[in-house]
Amino acid sequence: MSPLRGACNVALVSRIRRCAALLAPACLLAISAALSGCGGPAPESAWDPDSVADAFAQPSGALMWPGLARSFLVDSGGALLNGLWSVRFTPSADGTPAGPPLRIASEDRWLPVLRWNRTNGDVHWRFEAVGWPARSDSDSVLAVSLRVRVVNSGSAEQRVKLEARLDSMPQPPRFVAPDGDTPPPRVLAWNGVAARDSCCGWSEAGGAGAVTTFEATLRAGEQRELRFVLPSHPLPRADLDACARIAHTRRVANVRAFWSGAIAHGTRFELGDPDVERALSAATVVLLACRERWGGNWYPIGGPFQYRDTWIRDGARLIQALAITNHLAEARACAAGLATLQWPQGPFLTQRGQLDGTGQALWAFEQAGLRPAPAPEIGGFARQAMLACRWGEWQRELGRGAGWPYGRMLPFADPHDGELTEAPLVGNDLWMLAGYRAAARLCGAAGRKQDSTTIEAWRAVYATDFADALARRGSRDVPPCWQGEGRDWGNLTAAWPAQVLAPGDPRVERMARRVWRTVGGAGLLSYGDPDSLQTYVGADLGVWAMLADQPATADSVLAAVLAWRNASGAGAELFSRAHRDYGWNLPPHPTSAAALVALVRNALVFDDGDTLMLTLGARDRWWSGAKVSGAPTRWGMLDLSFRREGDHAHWSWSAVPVWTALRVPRGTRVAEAPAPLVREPGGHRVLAPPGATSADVRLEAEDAGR
Amino acid sequence: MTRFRWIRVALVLLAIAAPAPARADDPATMDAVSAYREANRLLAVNRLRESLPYFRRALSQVTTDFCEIHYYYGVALGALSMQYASRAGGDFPATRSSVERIGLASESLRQLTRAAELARDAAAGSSVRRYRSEVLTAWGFPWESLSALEEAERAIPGNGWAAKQRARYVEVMRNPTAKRFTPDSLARPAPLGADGQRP
Repeated sequence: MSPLRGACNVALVSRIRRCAALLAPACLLAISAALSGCGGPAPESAWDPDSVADAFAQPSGALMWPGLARSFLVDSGGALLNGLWSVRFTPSADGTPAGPPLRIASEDRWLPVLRWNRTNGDVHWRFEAVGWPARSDSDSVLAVSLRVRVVNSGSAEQRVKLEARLDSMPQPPRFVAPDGDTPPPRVLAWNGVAARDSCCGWSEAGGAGAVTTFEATLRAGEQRELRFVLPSHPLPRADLDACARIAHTRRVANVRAFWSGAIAHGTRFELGDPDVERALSAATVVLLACRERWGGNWYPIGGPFQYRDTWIRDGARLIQALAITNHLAEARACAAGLATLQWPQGPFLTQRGQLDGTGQALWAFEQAGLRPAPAPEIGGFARQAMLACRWGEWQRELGRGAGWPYGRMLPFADPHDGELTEAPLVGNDLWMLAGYRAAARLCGAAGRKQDSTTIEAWRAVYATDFADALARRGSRDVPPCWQGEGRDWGNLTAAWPAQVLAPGDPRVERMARRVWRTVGGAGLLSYGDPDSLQTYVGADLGVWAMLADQPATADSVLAAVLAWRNASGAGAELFSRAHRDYGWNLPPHPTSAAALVALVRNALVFDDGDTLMLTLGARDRWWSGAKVSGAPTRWGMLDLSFRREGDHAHWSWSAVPVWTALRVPRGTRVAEAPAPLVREPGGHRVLAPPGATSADVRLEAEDAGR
Repeated sequence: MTRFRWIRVALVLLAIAAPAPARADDPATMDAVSAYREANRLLAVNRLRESLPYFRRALSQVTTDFCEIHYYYGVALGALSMQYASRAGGDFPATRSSVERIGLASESLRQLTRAAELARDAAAGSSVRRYRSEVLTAWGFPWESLSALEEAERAIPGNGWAAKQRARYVEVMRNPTAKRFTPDSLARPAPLGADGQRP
């Protein structure tokens, strides 16, 4: 008898399994064990999770799906947890328990087909899992198909055993699902219940109660498989039976097709740099999966586990990252979700004391609504943006009347996050100014010219008041608070995305140098303790560095964001650099993903100003020949290709009705730029006139002639 | 005592508009008086979410609108937006997400605005504005909170409590890093009209 079950026997297995479900668990175990030995090997891609890089000491993985309300964490012990219960696997051989997983990895470090290995001696337990909507594409319940393959690679017979136990969350729980409670014992059980009764797991080995056990004797070289289906919510056993009828390999193929299709739908990055390309795909998976459907609307969430809630500060970043990579429908649906969160008096705020939400929401509306052309729904966004700006002016008017030193700025806030202080926060005003700018653009695009002009006038006065406040503060850079002290957070947005201070403003440069000094150079910033690195809060300084023509500095930030990812390609939020440990702050974090997307996309295509800017931060490797296809910009969809050949750099791109700035490769400057190209002072950029579609410039070494 | 007096008045008003009595446990079929009584009972024991359908039922049945029903409905909504509950071994928001919380708090403000419009006397108006201020303080809207306190002070000239509270809050706004300001619990509203009796 062949040691492997073949895919050709799936239908037969399913039919027998349906009959077997009527039998006692012991009989079922025997039949399943027998079935496990027939047929040829199932085709599958051969990749070893232990070969995938992971920056963190603690492995973990996420099984999640866009729109669904719960996800499964695969923790460092190889258990699956959904925030209300856990499924703990205890594999052993000859009575010796297997060790924990070394890695929990996604296929190609991005595609959410998770694998992890557990080993005891010559016995290898290979786990593979995917998540999908359980009963139909529109189901609100996530199901996980988990296949465990046990292989005896030794020369002696081995007695193997796998126990799978359903239990409540370990106390204290690392995260808790946002609704529901741990089911009672009769429900927190495997599929040995009546067909109409609900249970929390389906095991090929059957099993009544909370424990199911598989035992077998493996000859040398023999292997066996066992299948589980794990729902995020209790389901009737009959529904789980139906889920299990579709073979694991088919589930994997479907999941692979879904995510590959989702990635293909977005902007295509062909950079000749597989690590970056896969990192972008991994980030996009996180961004698309960190959305929840609730009450008919889509909402961005702060993560699948401990941050499963909507924060505007994270949601706006998620929306922007999706919008600039051509996931426009998803970005706009989430923007429409944020639009439901406007308070009666005009502001947007999801967490108490986080007054930056208004500016962030307006910025998100504009980011999603104006690329590659004004969206049909911008009329509603513009109307709400005007109400929000009126609220801002009302706040400033009250403050002006009070006559306090910083009265013209937004009032004090206690965000319980970010700056982590109770003070008037510079970042709130930076974001509000970004919101005014976005609102003016939205109103203009929506045909509300008068509103656009009014808001732009308000913004000009606000910007002047901001500059006065900055001068009054007496800081050499951009401080976090107008009064008192706080952590660097919203102030880091000054040059981008708020665009309140010019990239060349020395205050921004000094702020960047100050915050990078703590961590030993441009890269991730520390938050609180110098050993605690934060993965996204400093990414805006990376974009600033591109705009300030410091590509090496920008690249250093991108390199750090790329480096600190797990074996699924996802970043955490906060972790100890010394211990490479994120503790209970579990990855993935969508704002980390958004930061990575924004850094790469802006390094190639930057369109947040009045000039299209290309290759501002292109890495050396990309200059071997790179293409970007289907990038939505403010001036339409854009395709770009660029290459360096010897002492020439060549670009071709879709025509736009504005000037285009082209940045030459690092370490070079423009030696010759034929008309109509215009060489910029400093020699690192040339300007191409509106309508141009290609450029070729001769380069010379940066230090040539010096 | 003041609160009970208002409830008695409210029940009389509801009784005028009330249809025939229905099953006591189903808000969808309950008469207005029973629904309002049950809503207030649940609010008093902090069963905030459960009280909401009873408030809605009572509001849908009332023909002569009055301040108190909007006030206590606003209290239930505002308090629920900040309520925590034990679940799965820890304390977590009693609400599903910030989306739900913003909806609750926004509706609370609308109900309190309506309550202020319907207030029969200055003391009731002051109580409503005071609670409105507390909701806005808890959510982190300083200027709105201060405005509500000013309205509460204006409602009763010489309202010592409101004047003192406003002065405290102005000081916090002027120099927030020096002092901390802890709002009252949203789940413990002042009885309607109690402001007029405060020193």
